[in-house]
Amino acid sequence: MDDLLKIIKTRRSIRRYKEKYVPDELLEKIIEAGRWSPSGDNGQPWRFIIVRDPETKKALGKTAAEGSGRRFTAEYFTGRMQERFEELKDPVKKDKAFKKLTSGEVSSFLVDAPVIIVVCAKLNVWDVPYDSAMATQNMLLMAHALGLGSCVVVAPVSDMRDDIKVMKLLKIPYGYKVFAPVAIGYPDESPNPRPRLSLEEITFYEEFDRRRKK
Amino acid sequence: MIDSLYFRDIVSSLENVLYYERGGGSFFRATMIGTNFIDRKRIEGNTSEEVFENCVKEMRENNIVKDASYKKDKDGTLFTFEIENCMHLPIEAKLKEEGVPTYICPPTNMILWKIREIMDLAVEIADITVNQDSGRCIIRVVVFKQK
Repeated sequence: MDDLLKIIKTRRSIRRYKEKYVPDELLEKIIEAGRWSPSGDNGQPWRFIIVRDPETKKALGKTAAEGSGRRFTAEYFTGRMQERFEELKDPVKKDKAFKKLTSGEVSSFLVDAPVIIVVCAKLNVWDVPYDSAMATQNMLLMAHALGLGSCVVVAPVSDMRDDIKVMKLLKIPYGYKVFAPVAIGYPDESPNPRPRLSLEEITFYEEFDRRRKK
Repeated sequence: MIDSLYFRDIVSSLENVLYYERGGGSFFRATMIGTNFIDRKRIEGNTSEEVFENCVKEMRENNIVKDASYKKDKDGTLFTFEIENCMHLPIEAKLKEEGVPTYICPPTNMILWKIREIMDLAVEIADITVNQDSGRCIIRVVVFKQK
């Protein structure tokens, strides 16, 4: 059990990868982990597209950069980004973070990922987002356990205007949706863990916001 | 009738459902709401301003809005649209009262859809402010300039 928690706690979102081939056998193990996820009514809506083609990755990366860039530029201009980073006091780091977000760079790395597994889902089941999210998380953990890095990149599909481009690019038929592209590769960075809310902050007893008596 | 109370209830309920399901992400799922209408029209223009004017002209003629204007900042990154007496306004006002943040502006969606298509600009709604008392909405829009 401790080993599982260790895998969960040491997983990171990796955005820089080595130029090293990821064998099909490892990708199959990752998809196998997704395949064994729970799903409502055992609907198993997930479908997975393995993308290695540089042109397809380039197109996904461009759409991702635009999606992120638009969204974060808007966030910056309204001052919401400055509020979000209020805790970050170092002006150099803050400026770097703003540039990374508003330039779309935070998502454009998709083009350089050795492999992208695009998680898709059929719509005629009851619990599409829940099922897809559970499958994706299983896959992230399996990738990490295999020594691979991964990152879910929703930027190319969060906005409907981009979503329809990706559907067309990957020839996804009506009746299915793209849940999220997942970048996979050997990590070429080891980011620090992001801050987490404490257990006390997120755990209630019997009803919302009721804390355990001390 | 398109502006009946019944129709408003139906649309606001649908918006409420989407917000409940997707939270803040609803904003990005709703960016094409309204674009069917403008796709049925022949919109042209050589500048963003012309595309804006031509979209607004169609909306005025079809009683979707009474009028709309825009301002832009000096480097052309931030646009501010002011939309007057929009058919959609009572729905957003109702949702605002219910505590749902405004995340859809069909007239702006139409304009941005056409600016993106004709001018190849990456445009995004930054925020929407609904003012039912004045009958005007202020929508701030940014242009993302990809390096």
